[in-house]
Amino acid sequence: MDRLECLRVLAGLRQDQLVFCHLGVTSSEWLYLSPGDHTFYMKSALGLVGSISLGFTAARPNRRVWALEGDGGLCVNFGSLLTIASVQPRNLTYFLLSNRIYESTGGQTMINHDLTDYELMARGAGVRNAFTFHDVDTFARDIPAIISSGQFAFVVLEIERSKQKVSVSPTEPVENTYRFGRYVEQTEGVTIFHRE
Amino acid sequence: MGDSTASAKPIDPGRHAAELIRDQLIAAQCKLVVHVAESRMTGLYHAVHEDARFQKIYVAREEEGVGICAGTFLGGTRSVLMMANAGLQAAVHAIANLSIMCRLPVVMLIGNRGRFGDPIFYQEYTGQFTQPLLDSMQIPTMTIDTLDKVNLIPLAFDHAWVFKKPVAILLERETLDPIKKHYLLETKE
Repeated sequence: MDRLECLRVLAGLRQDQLVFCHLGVTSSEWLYLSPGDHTFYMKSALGLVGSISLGFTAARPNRRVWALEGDGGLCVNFGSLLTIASVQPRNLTYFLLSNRIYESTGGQTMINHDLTDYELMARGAGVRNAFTFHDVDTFARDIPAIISSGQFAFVVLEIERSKQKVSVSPTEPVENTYRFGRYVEQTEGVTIFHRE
Repeated sequence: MGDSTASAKPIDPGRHAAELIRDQLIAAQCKLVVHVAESRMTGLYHAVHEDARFQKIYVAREEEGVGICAGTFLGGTRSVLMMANAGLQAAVHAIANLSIMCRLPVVMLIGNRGRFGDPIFYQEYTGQFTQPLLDSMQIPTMTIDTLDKVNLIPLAFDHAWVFKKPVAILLERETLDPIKKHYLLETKE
């Protein structure tokens, strides 16, 4: 599947969901397709999309959240799969963008690239709702029901490099923290940042 | 009046310390506890685990805990990462590149192993490297080495929130293991 086309499907379906986005090329493509303050971009800490999503959904159990993680990110923090499986928050959908390479660092082959079945590993960890998609049409047809189910879902997207290249200016880390945080304050009616 | 001491239950010093710390986490408005198992903090683990006022997430590795605590901040809730100082070493990248770089506060309640009085030899380098690691990352550190300092714990949370950075609370052996035991060399008569 073309990654940009997969993300285009998700961007078209997003309503009030907040998004935590994997670093690298994925973040550029998501920013291009879904600009706004509703996404927190992981700038440098590889592998923490699932973890930060877990913390956010624990704090805001009534707000829907999407985690967009890369397979390189999951692999560097594989224990997080067990942690996420132990919680399976109802308001979280975890998307694993599996291109089987480290695209942002030059295309090096992902470890165990031809053998790993991420859906099977998620099910082995106890995840009840785990899916794998290999073509965009099937993904576009089936994903609306999954994201509106009110249940945790682990969705593997077997993708390849996008044919279209996008170029966007990324937000600075602290800028992103404040823009996302202010958006949460505004839409959730909570105070996040200390005020004098 | 009878002899009240005859019927008084002896206080378990470790349990008492754990409950005091737990109470200060409540006072700090901590709602979520993220934990990786640590032997000296077992009493504190049980005090938190049995308390329905806390949500608990047990993680496989401490760097996950940094991510989770950063996420709770963005959701408007306070949390704490409870771990041994070995976990600090495991979480360095996440602390530097998420908490510090993105100004996301993370409060770390750290069992400071390998210091004076720790009989476990393999804790040598967790003990030796903790303070230099915290200093090199310029992480504000609160040291709790007596029980009367436990009531300072909420200030560490406030500090993290005001300055939007990670804060370390070092729990020294004397706080969690008030029973002092000296390991003396055996002598053969």
